[in-house]
Amino acid sequence: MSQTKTLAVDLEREAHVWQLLSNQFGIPKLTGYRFLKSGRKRIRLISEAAFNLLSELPYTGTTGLYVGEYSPTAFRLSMDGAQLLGPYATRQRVELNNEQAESWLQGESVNYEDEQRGYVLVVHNNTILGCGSLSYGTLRSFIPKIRRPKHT
Amino acid sequence: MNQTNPLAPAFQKRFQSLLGTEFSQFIDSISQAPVSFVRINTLKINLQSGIDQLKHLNIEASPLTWYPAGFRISGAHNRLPFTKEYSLGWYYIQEGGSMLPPVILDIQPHHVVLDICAAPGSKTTQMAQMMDNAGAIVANDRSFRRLTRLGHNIQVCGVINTITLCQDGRHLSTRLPLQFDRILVDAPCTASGHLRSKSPQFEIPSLQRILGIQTIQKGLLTAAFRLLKPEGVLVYSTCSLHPEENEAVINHLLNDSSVAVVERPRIAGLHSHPGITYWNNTQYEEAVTNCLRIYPHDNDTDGFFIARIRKEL
Repeated sequence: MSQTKTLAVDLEREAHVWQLLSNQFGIPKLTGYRFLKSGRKRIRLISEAAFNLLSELPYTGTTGLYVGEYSPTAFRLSMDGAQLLGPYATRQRVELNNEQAESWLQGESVNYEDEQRGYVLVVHNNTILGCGSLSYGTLRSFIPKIRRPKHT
Repeated sequence: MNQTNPLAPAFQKRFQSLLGTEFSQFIDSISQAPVSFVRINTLKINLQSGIDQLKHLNIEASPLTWYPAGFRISGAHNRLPFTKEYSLGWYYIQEGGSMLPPVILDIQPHHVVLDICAAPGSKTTQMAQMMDNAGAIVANDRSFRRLTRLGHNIQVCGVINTITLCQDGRHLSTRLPLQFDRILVDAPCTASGHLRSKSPQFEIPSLQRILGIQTIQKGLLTAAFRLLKPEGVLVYSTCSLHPEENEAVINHLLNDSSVAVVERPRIAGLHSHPGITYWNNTQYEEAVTNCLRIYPHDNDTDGFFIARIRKEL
């Protein structure tokens, strides 16, 4: 059976993820959550109680929620990671209008003029839709194909 | 309907025996079009905003009496899976009866829970929602393909308190050095409670097939009960109405364990029938009358069987 044991991020790296989230988005360190590394760059979030069970279980499959990708200098939140952690953010937010939101959710880049650069939380009608990349007037979308609203 | 599509004789005989004078109500109910239900995912949106948004989408929603986040929906409900709100994970389409087992399990946020046949994850994600993402859920399924679907649903619903396992549930008691506060055994079954989407003749599976599944169900329930903490609670459920998959399985556990106690769940507004004690020349323990048989005409849902079992000290 092709199962892998998801590895726990070492404490130093876990602290670095919180630091990146704080530096980029102003998200403070939250208690009761732990980060796990999954693959080379992917980071998953798990409740403290579930984390404490991990060492007692045999090979596990999916563990916790995929919240984003890590690099030494930046953290890109996943769609669900942005929804979960985004409400704690104090910066790097952009607000889209109806037309922009619809296109962006379909995975399309949209024009967006703003002074902010890098990864931003994408908001529409006070709802966090996900995380995009803003650079020189273009807001890129990372919405996975499977999560794009299907046309009727 | 029955004049143009006569019922299969075996189906008629079996359900007449089970239902007696309620048989015609039962037939009327299963001849109706399936009802649609939705669960508002309060891990992502608060309940009132979820209700308001359904109105905004021209979807009429009436709350279920047994679960505050569950709704019967009509109107423009067929459009729901194509909306932005659905993609964001605010709503989960789940049959109304299927929301009952987690409710009857009486889960608290500090519990450590085992869902032994978890995929595709409707009840797992509902339990995570009821626990407000606290505590821990071990969600097991023997099918790796189905587990992938579970992983997707966990992600979309924003669940962070769940770990998945891919094991044969019947062998888990020898592989897990743990005991659980709550265990859900939503066992594989013949799905004979899903009658509204079936052919109008309502064929039933062969007795040989039903008994084959019963063997698996007995194995799962026995293994799960071993993993339950003393004073812990286990819920056994199927979406089948055949006594061989339900009362007979509970009876097997009662004969096997002196510390298994079947408790009668009390859910306000829920209509149900007690478990039966005699079927096909077999007498079951009196305690199985505490189980719930839910027929489609009881609450306008699919048929379900649910047993709540406590492990005595």
